[in-house]
Amino acid sequence: MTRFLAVAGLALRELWISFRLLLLVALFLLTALPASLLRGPSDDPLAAVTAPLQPFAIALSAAISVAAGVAAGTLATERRRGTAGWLAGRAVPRSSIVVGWFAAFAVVLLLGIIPAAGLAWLTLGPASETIDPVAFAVTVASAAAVGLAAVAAGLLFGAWLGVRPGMVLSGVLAAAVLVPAAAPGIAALAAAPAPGAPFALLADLADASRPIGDSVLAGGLALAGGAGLLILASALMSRADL
Amino acid sequence: MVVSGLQRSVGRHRLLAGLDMRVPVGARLLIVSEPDGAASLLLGILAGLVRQRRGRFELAGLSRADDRSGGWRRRVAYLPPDGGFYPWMSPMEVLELSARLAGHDRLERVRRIDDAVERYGLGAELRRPVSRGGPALAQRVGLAAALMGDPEVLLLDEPLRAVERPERVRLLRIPGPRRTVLLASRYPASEDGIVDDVALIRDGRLALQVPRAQLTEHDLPLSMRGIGALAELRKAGVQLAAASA
Repeated sequence: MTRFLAVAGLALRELWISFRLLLLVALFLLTALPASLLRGPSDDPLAAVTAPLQPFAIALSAAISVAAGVAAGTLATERRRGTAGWLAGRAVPRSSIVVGWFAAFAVVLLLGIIPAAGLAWLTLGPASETIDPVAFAVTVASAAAVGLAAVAAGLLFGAWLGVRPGMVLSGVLAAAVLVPAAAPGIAALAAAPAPGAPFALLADLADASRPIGDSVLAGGLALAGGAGLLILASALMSRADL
Repeated sequence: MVVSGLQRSVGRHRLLAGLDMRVPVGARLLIVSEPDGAASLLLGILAGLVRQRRGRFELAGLSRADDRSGGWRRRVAYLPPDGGFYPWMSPMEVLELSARLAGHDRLERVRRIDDAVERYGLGAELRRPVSRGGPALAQRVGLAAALMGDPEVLLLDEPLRAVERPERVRLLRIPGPRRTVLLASRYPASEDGIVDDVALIRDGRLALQVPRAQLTEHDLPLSMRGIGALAELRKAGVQLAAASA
């Protein structure tokens, strides 16, 4: 536990000092911006409710994809410049290095997604009265769970590939899976167990028949998948040259 | 330290091609290599940071594969050329973290950090980021941190290159009669006064491992050329002895 906390603390400070923490949190805050900019008067009362959330869902999925890419680049950089080796040389298990970085990125994700969701909710204005706030909160939490899984996937690529290939591959892969789910018309990506299901729900929250149940299912699957990816990342890290 | 059949390539270069080596407890061994990456690679493997393709190695009878509790790793400390820690950390943070990870309690941490600050002259810059003190400070902090766990085996890869020679020799005369020190260097002449034995890895295999005094006996300098010449002399001697037998 001491070792895990030490790595997580170092990772958070590294993210803070390198401005990655601030940039990622700012990026997540910006995801609420399209919702407020694109919201306008509409004759269709349903569109007035759903229109603001779809840009938020798309932007949030894109920001999570960027976070996955940054996670991959970060772990690959740690391997390349020897800081991961320095920790491993001090009896810190390599799995603790991976999990410590995961915890640091989880903090960043929460610091970004919670206020971003608050801002997005505020931009709904009168339309927020027709959306269940609990359903909104649960769906955002489910999207955050997908974000954690995306970061775990990023760490997997970071433990395996170099800095640029890891960043590009994990970012593009996450974007390819998550962003289209928030856009209308691709039903296969919009339902659990598809990883993008929370974003599809978020984009169309007013129309969803069981938003809370579906979000909980999608979030649970994302957490389970994230745990699996984290185990894989640890296994790859244990075989990597540091 | 017993190394047997160690193999590893980097790119297309086979730097270790079945290396066999024995290093007795308490040795101060300089390792040089042709090509020069092999010695550093060997230390990386011994430190557990780089995986060998084939072969095994043991430390005091304990193999890496047997290591369940991390005990093996606590016996070994590795110092890379540039320290390896985050440059924004202060010397105090590096030492505190190293002592904590080594499992020392608070009183022992304070005692060890005080000792290290005095021995490595870190007092003036103890709480400033290491990056502001230049590479010499980073390397001194790295060595102090490596010794926090009181390791039995110390693996030094091009250590303290940015430190002035007299100070470097003083710092690298690391106390402890049972402490084994393996030092990889591309500049053997600069290691005079620090090591007692010399090893040459040539084409991935051990070509020479002798006391440093043998170079003096043959009137050869402690340099790549001198070590290479001694390896050739010994090889010729062995062939002569085999022929006469």
